[in-house]
Amino acid sequence: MTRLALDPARAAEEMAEFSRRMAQAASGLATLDVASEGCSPRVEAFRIDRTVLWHYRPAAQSAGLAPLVICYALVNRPYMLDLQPDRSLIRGLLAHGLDVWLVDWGYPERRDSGLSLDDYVNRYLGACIDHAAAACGVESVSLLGVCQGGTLSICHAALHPARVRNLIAMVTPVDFRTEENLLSKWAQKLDSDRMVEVLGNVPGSLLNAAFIALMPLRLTARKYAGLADIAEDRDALENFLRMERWIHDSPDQAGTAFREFIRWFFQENRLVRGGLEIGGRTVNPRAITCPLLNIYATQDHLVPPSASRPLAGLTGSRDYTAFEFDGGHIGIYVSRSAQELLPRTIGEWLQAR
Amino acid sequence: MHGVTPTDPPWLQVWQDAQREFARLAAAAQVTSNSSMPFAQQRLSDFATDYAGVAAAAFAQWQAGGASLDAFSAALVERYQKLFTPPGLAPANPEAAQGGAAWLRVQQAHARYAQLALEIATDAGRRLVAALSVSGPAAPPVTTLRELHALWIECGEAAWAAAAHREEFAEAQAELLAAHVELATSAKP
Repeated sequence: MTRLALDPARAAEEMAEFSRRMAQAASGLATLDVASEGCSPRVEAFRIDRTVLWHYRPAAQSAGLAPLVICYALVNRPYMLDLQPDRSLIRGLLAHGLDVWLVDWGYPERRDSGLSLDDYVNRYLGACIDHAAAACGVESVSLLGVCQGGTLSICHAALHPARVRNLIAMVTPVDFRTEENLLSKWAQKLDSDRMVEVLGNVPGSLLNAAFIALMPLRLTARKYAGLADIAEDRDALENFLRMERWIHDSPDQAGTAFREFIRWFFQENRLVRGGLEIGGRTVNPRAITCPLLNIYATQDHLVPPSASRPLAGLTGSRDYTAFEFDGGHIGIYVSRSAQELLPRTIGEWLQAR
Repeated sequence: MHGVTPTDPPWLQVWQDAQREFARLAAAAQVTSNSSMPFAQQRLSDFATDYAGVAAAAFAQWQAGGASLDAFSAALVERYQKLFTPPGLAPANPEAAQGGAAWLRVQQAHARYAQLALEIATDAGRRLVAALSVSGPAAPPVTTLRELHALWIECGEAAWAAAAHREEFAEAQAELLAAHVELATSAKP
């Protein structure tokens, strides 16, 4: 007895139609150009080495709040936050009257292999925060760290608490050794010292392959099967291609910082267990006393909620708010429900402080 | 895929033509695509082969009178295995390192990883057979290739999730990567 009840003649027609639509989609994709790095107007406000601080043009009456500096991950490009007009966290934040700044780490090159977490956490992020604060005539900013950028932001806030008025962590790994964390299980066995010794920088394509391997069929075969449904919809094809471009636009990782991150965070879990030092100074999360908003996604396959939730008891903040988003690691940026929900949640949370 | 013979039913010709056209257009798109945006096209030819492979297994099963789901599953294990192997870490050819110790390590790492990938793929095939053997209101008949493809993916992901968390898998994966890194070192002038 089997559920397999294909009618061969109908299946042949289905295959022919599917093939026709996929071929149409393939041809359509080849004509599109989705090369922009974001859709919201912005200016380069500051640059240090490869790191650029972008300042977004206001889109609504100012809410009169401290500048909001966004710190994205090193492992992907930040334009995911401003992908297109109807899928843009940044646009949503601007619409709430927030003064938005974005730290863009750029693409490390061979000669950058010696950049360390000290460079990223203290030197680059610090310089960007100082610039945004000075430009606005204030002494501290609200810091929104996204994914790995959230981990870097927590470290920065612990090392420089006076610079951070409010801290928002979004899909941020804090406890790197939880049961659901598949990426962490793989990272435990990684000889990152030898990799960096040989390769210098770690190829972004390698990391990207690891991310896709977390769900190797859903993130390839199922996604591409969906193309047949949108073959005649140019907007949908553009959306698809923007996502594809972002997924495959993975900067190489500066070797030293990569090695430190793998060892200190994934393998030794120092943010939670203690003993983390960056730039010769101990990172003590208890030093963070500012208001703290922790946003994580319930179906996140990359940073499972169990990795983010421990932020609750880690810091010295008495003003802690957790916000669970019903979705995944990518959906939190681009899903329809996120577009209204997240900017409002962040805007109202900041407004109340 | 076998060639069309006089005994093949007429739909088979339609289906094979469709497969060929799909592969041709996907490959053409890959060549002519905007140079700044080749990502999606790069995968379409491979994907076409996978999708058609699922369809081919289903048709073969139908031609065999629908008797054996095991044969159907066996035809799909290889496709699973391919998707469970990380891109860019293909077995090295001997010229890459004059057949030295680094090359040998890569071959051994590949053999170990390939064995695990085969086990996961076989498990995925078993899960697919089990899913197709279930009856009742929660398991409606699979009447389209798209539904079959979706079930194929679901079973593959379930098998992968069950295996990829194991320490043995993490070790094999890390060794494969480390072996390739050492090969890169030995290949440097």
